[in-house]
Parts: sequence; C-alpha cells; structure tokens
Amino acid sequence: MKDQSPPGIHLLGELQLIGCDGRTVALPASRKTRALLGYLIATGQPHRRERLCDLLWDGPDDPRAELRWSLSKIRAVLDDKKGMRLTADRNRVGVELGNAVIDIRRIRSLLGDDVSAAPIAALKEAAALLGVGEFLDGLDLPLCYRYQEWCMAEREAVSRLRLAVLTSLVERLQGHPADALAYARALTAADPLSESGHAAVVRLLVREGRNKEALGQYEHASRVFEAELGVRPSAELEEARQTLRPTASASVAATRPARALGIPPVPRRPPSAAFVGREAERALIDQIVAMRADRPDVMLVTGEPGIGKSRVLAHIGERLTSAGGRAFAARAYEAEAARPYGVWIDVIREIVRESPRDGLPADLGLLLPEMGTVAEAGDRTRLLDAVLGLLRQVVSMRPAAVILDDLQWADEGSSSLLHYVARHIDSTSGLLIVCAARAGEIEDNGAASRVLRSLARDGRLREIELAAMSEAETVQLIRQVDPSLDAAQIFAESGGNPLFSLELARAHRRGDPGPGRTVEALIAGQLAPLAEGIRETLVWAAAHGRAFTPDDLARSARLDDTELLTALGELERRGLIRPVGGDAYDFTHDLVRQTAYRTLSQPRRKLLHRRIARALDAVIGRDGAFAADIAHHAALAEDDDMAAHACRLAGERALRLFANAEAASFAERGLRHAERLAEGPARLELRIAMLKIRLLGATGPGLRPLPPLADTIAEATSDAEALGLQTAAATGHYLLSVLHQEAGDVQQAETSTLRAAEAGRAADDSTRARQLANTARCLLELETEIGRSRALIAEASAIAGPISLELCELYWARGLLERWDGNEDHAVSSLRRALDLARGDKDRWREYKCLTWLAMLERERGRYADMHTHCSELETVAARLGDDETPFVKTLRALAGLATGVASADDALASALTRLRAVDDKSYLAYALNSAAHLYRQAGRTSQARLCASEALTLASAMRRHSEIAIARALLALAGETASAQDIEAASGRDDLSVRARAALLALQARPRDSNGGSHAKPAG
Amino acid sequence: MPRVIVERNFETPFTQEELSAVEARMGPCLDLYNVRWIRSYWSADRLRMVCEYDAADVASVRNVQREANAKFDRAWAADVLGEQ
Repeated sequence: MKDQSPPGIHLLGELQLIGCDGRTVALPASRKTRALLGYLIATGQPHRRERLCDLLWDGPDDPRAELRWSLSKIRAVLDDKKGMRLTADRNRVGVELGNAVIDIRRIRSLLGDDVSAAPIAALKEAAALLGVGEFLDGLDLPLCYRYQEWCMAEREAVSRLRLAVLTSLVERLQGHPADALAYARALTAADPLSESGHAAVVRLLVREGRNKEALGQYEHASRVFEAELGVRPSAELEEARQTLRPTASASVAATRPARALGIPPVPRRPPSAAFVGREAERALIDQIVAMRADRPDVMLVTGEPGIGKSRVLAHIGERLTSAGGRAFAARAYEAEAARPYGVWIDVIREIVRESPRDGLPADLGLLLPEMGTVAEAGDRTRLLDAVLGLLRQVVSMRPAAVILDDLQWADEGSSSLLHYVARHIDSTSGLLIVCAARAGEIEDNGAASRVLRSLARDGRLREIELAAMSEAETVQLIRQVDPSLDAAQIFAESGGNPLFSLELARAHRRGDPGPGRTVEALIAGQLAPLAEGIRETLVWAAAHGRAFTPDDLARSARLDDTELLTALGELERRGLIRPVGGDAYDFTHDLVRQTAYRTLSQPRRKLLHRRIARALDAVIGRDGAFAADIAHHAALAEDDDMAAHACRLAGERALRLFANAEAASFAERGLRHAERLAEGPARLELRIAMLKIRLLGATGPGLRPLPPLADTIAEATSDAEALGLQTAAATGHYLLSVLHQEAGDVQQAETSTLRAAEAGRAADDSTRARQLANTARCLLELETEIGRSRALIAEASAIAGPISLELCELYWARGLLERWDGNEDHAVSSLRRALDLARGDKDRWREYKCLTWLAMLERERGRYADMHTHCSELETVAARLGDDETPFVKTLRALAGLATGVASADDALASALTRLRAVDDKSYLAYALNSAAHLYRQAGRTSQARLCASEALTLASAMRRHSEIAIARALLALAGETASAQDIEAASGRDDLSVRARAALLALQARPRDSNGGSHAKPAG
Repeated sequence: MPRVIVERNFETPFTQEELSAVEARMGPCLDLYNVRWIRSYWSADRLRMVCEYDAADVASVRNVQREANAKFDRAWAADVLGEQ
C-alpha cells in the first residue's frame, strides 16, 4: 500500500487528482462539475452558494438544484480519498485538501517572491511544472462569462509566471548554451512574439555553431513579426543576427525549412473501416430503418467520448441511404454553443444544397441569409413552421433521417426546434431524427436535456446507450489495423473504448508502446512528429473550433495555397481530419481538435483567435451571420471592443431569429466587454443597445421573469441625455416603458413612452437643427447669403427650442448675425454661450473660433481688457490645436495697442501682419488692414491708412467679402483716393452689407462732395 | 486660383472606410468655402497623405479641414513647377 504519499492535484494542463494510492481519480464527466471542482481547489476557500450559482448556472433553470447535483458528484470523488473532503452547509461550499500537493502552489513556493532570485534548480522544476499545460485546460465555459473571466485571468497570471521563469533560466544558464537553448525555445513556443526569446535562440544556436539553424530561426521570427505585428525585427534580434558569421549558403532560399518535406512515411488510414461489433444495436437499427420495429420519432445514442457514437450515426445514415432514403447530418460545436439554431442551419443547408428547390418558405431566409430572401416580420412559430414545411417536403418523396451529433453543445434554439419538429412530425411520415450526446456532459446543457427528458416522457425517444466493446470485438477492431498486434494487451489497456483501442494500436505500430497513457496522450504522440507547416495548419484549424474550409484557413492564417493544400492532404492521410461535404473538412474526432489546441500556449491562442476574429470581421455580412463566431474568437483574444460590437450584432440577430435565450446571453457578455472600454458616447450607445437586447430577450414567449434592469437602464438613459445622444436616450425611455408595462405600472409606462417619443423626435430633430445651424453659421463666417442664413437660423431655432436643444453652432450663428446687425451686446452673450458649449464638447476648433469672434467683438467695442483676456485664452487653445493659429491674435493685440497709443504699436502691427500674410489668411488680413486703416485715418496718418485700405481692397475682392470691400473703398475715399461714383454706388447699393460696412459708407456720405459727384482726396484731420 | 497643399500623417494606417467618411464630411464644406479638390497622394503603407486643392487662400482650406474634422499636419500655398 502506498497509503503514505500525499494526494496530488494538477491544475495546470487537464485537471487531475491523484489519490494517496498514486492512482488518477476518475472525475465527473460533467464539465461544469469539473470546472466547479477546479474553482474550489484553486481559490482554496469556501464560497457562498449564490456566488457559485452565479458563476456557473446563471440561467433560467433552477441553479441551486444544478449546484446540488454537481456537489453530489464531487462528494463522491473526494470523500473516498484520504485528506480531501467537500465541506458544504446551507450557505457555503468549500474543499479541504489536507496535505495535498497542488502544482501551482508548489511552483509559487519554489519561486518565492522574486523569480530572478530563485535557485536554478527551483527554476528548472518550476519550468517543468509550468510546461505541463495551461491552467484548467479544456475547462473553458465561454457561456458562463463570470467563470470564464476568472479562468482567463488565472491563465494570464500563469502565462506571465511561465515567461518570467523561462526568461530567467535563459539569462542565468549562459554558461550552458545547450540547456539555455532548450529554455529559449520553450520561451518562443510559449510566447511567439517574445523578441528576446527569438534573439536568445539565434544567439545560442550561433554559439553552438549551428549557423544555418540560427539564420532559419531569425527568418522565422521576422516572418512572425511581419505577419502578426506588421513590424520589422527589433534591434535585439538584428544584433543577434549580426553574431552570425557570413557563409556562402546563407540565403533565404537555402535556409528556409523545407516545410512539406521530410515527413516520415505514414500508411494511409482506410477512409471508413468496417463496422465492428455492436450486433444488438445494429439489429435494432436495421429494424427501425426497415420500419419493422416500433419506430420512435427520435433516437438518441449516448456514451463516453470515443465510444463510437458518431460511427453508429454514420451507420444509420448508410443503412437508410441503401434502403432508398436520404440522410442529412450535422454536428454541434462547442465553439458555437450560442449560434442560434446552429446545428439545424447546417442540416438545412445540406438539404438545400443537395436538392435546391424553388419556392422555399421566405422565413427560411432568416436562417440562410444566402437565400437572399427577406422575410416579413413574423414570429417564432412561423420560423419553426418553415423548417417543418421543408422537412415534410423532403420526406414526401423518400424517407429521410436528420442526424444531429454532439447534442451536448447544441444551442437553446436548436433544442427548441428539435422539440418542435419531433412533436409535429411522427415517425410514420418517414422522418427519423437521430441524435448523439456525450453521457454526463449532456447534463450541462439544460435546454437539451430538458427536451430529451420531455420526449422520453412522451414515449417519443429511444435511447441506445453504447457500452464498452467486448474483448472479442476489440480484437476484431485491432486486426483491421494490424493483425500482428497483441490485441488482448490493447484491450486490457483501453478497457474496450474503440477510439482508445485504435490509437493504442497505431502507437504500437509506430513502435511507440508504453503503459499508463490516456487517449489524449496517444493523440498528442501522433501530432508530435508533424512537420512545422502541417502542424501550423492543424492548430489553425483547431482554433477555428468547427468544420473549416481551406478558404477559412487561408483568410486568417495567411498560409500559402499550395502549402495549405499539401498540409490538408497530409492531415487527411494521417486520419486527423476528414472531408465533410462541399470543400469543408472537420476533425475525425473532437478529441483530436482539443489535443491540437492544447499544444498552443495562452499568448499564441490569443494571437490565433485575434486573427480569426479579424478575418471574419472583414467578411461580416449585414445580417451578422458571423457575429456569434466573431464574438467567440474576439472574447478569447481579449479584444473587448471587437467582442462587444460582435455581441451586439449577434444578439440582434438572435432576436430576429426569436432565439431569446441566446440573445440575452450575448447581451450579458456584450455588457461585460463594454464595461472595459473607455468611457464616452460610443460605449454608452453600445451599453444601451445591449440593455435593449437583454430586455427584449427576456420578454416574449420565454415567459421568464424580467431581469432587474430598471436602475441600470434609467442611469444609462440619463447619461445619454446628458451627452445629447438622443437616439440612445429614446431607446432607453422605450425600454423603461417596457419594464413599467410588464410591472403593471401604467402611468409610469405612459410617461416613459411619451418621453421615448419625444426623444425619438428629438433625435431626428436634433440632427436637422444641427445641420441647419451649421450651414447658417458657415454662410455668416463667409459673409455671404445673409438673408438665407437668417431664415436658416429661424428654422433651426424653431426646432431646437421646444426640445430644449442647446447647440454650439446655433448660438455661434446667432452671435455672428447679431454682430452683423450691430447688436453687439447680444452678439457677445450668444458667442459666450456657444463658447461654453464648445468647451463642454471638448471641441477645440469651435472653442478657438468662438474666442476669436469674441476678441474681435470686444476690440470693436473698445473693451480692450476683455479682448486681451480672450487673446490669452486663444493662445492656449491654439497651442492645443497644434496648429499655427496665433498670427491673428497678435494682430488683434497690435490693433488694440495702436488704438490706445502704445509706442511700439506700429512695429508690432507690421510684424503681426507679415505673419498673417505668411499663413495666407486673406479674410482676417482684410479685416485687420481695414481696422488699421480706420485707426491710422483717425490718427491723421493718411498715407498709412491708404496703404492699408488699398491692400485690404485687393484681398477682400479676392475673397469676395463685400462688406470689407465696401469698407476699404470708403476708407480709401476718405483717405483722399479718387474713387469712382460707380464703385461707391455699387458698394452702397448692396443689401447684404454689415452694419460696420454701412457705417463706413455713411461716414463717406457725410463728408462734402465735389461738383462731379465723386469723392476726392481730402486729408482728414 | 492659388494651389494649396495639405500634408497628413496617421499613427495607424488610414483605411478606405475612414477616407470615405472624411470625404463625405468634406464635400459640402468645399463648396461653401469655394475650395476645389485637385488630387491626393496616398502612401502605400497608408500612413501619409498629401492633398492638393485650389482655393483663394490657405485659411479657406484649413477651415474646410476643421469643419470636416479631417486630421492634418500642415497646409501651405504652393507654386506649381513643371506643369503644362
């Protein structure tokens, strides 16, 4: 007895418990139960039952009952083992682990607080433990987002620790290049974007004299950086390359690894081995297919992974086809557990592809966007009836089977559709529905197990439970691979699981025997010798998480077409993937996919998922058909922005498909992603859109209680109003009205509805008022079409007033019009309001413009102190604008200096005007020159006045500034220039002159005229 | 009319989508300010852009950029060499 050794717990890699007897403890099949056990062990403290329910069973079912069920399974596992015990009372649940050795705690105790100070032996042991795998690998539950977030955070922490340990080992083993090289390679495998890791590999290979490999590594790293980050190799990597001695053969072509070459020959697997054993099940299937047995509506095949469920499903399809019927098969994928009707969509697509038919119900277009038909707004029953109609059409000609594999991963909509179809089509119609599910794991899927229980109660379901194969059957199976193998030994090791037996047989054939292995370890052994390019293709396919086409891989992995097709051919030859119709492939078993995926480190997984999400994002359809996939991959890539947007699209699509549970789930996930985005209007709009999906997902035929969202929605709505997001605010009020309606609060509901309508109108009105005010303001800036501006301002005011809309542009436009009309006080107050609004919006340019107009107005009113204050503010804003916007400020200051008799004003003005000319701002220059001419004339400096007015006239003419033209002409005449009566008349005759221009013309008219009716020079003062 | 050049630099590659959005915003402003777009040069890495306009002055072009919320670094009046 090895009773004395402490129990061991592996949280890294797959969760494993090793009892005091040294044997691995068989854990419950339910993934949620294993996840709960992992959580209790890793956190090492008791938790309230509510918290655990929220963590793993936040759904419509009875979470406390689900938790009790899981705890009963855990108790059965732990209580047998000395020193490990489940502790649970009415409120709290925890585990007591006694002296159990937990890998992650062992690593932390080895390393202490400072990794760099840990002894090398400790670092090596820690590296070995960390190299086992990712934290709780394979226990992902993307739909339980609270658990998933905790798990991802733990994985990140482990990943950081791993990188720190490997980096430290590489640095400290410089005296042992061979050792250091192994750790450097492990570092680049753990983090493919570690530049120092790649540089270390290159340097160490050079030190070992392996120049060719070093150059190969350098080129590989360069390709990775170019592809992933779009950057060239860093200085560190370049330096490492410099250590290479130049050799004649050091060219890219010579050193590039021959990717598809050098693969050890592997015998091709037979595409479909003969069906062995299962005599009783086959007899039953034959009877059912021949309609002899009491035929059920639904058949369910259950059993553990690898037991042969998919093979039985295929057999049913083959039997039905050879009896003249047809079979349409699809499988649910774990990665798509939230894709509404996912498995059914694949079946329907199969049906439509095989026999495209005219006159398909338009409602099917909701499920198959490629049909291009747009269904009218209908309801869920119409959608389900459309599917039913299609199936009836199919079986009206020949009997058919719909085969749904891996039902434990089906989404809730698919389960509902299964129930609907099973209840409305009985077996006499010629339709047989066959499903397969993993025993134990099907319990994790509340919706699917409810449907199966209900069908069983109604006597519509027939279950075939696949047990392990007998020794005789296993021997027969092994003989198909190689008759010379010791089949009895393989049976003893595999316990009669056919997949396990076959993998063992292949391992023996490869000359790779050895006891105590798991099926996953055997599959991993198969993947290990794959050449780099082939393994790359395999891991990209694994990260996709579902059936894939070469195009899918090419889009995300950017693999070369020829290499990709070669790799797919090789993977098919090795029996790891298989064609599944069209140009798609799938893994021969999900365990192969899982094993390939687990070879990836956490940073690499993120990288792959990010690229897949981006590639999908680039092809996303208007209907959001890929949005669920993007949400899945973006969440695993921890790209909150993309994930939040995809959750919104996926949630909206789920609502359109009446898949309310999926919609609510996307909304919850989307809200979590949105929380991590930067605050601002975009986040708020996303949040309200997500709350809408969440609420609407809880209404309708689901009859679930509405979530307590009133406060959250009210808060988001008021934030939206504060930010002027009228459309979002309207949505918020509408949601509140729905909530009040459901709660029976009619008055509140009415108020919210009215406010929603107001905000809705306000959204359209707000946009319109903004556009009108903007055009008016622009025309006034340009001093043209003043009459039209006046009308536009009136129209914008009429819209903005009733909805209390405060627009910077409108106040700005009013300010300019009031200045034009000579109402200076009003102009100042309007512009000040516009300035406040621009500052509130953090709109620097509008702030700058409003301040400029205020400074000009104060100068025109002779309030120079106020003008200087605005000028100082202007200088600050101009600096923030990052543009050379200050020459006009200096000009205004110089004009004030000239007006108040500052000694150096002339020089300051000349210098400011020179700068204004240099930045080529003719409109301000014309204004400034006219202002200067006026001041010079008042001071009796006629020639200066003439020079300025003359230049102003040229510039104003070029800019078609009629008021400035009139002012310049008047000033020139007043300064003694002979002006033609025609010019002055033309200037005076215009009806769109500002009060400033009219005042200048009046001053001209007030002076004595000569006999010719023209003005002539008469020096002022 | 004088030729005005606008130089732009972007921290991340400017996308066709962003370009179309700026063009849509700029359209009405160009008319109002009497500015005519001639042509643009866009670097292969999408990080730099130079645009040519006809306008009465540089300030008009600058204002159009601000109105349309288009990022730019410099705007300057130019003499054209070598054009027929």
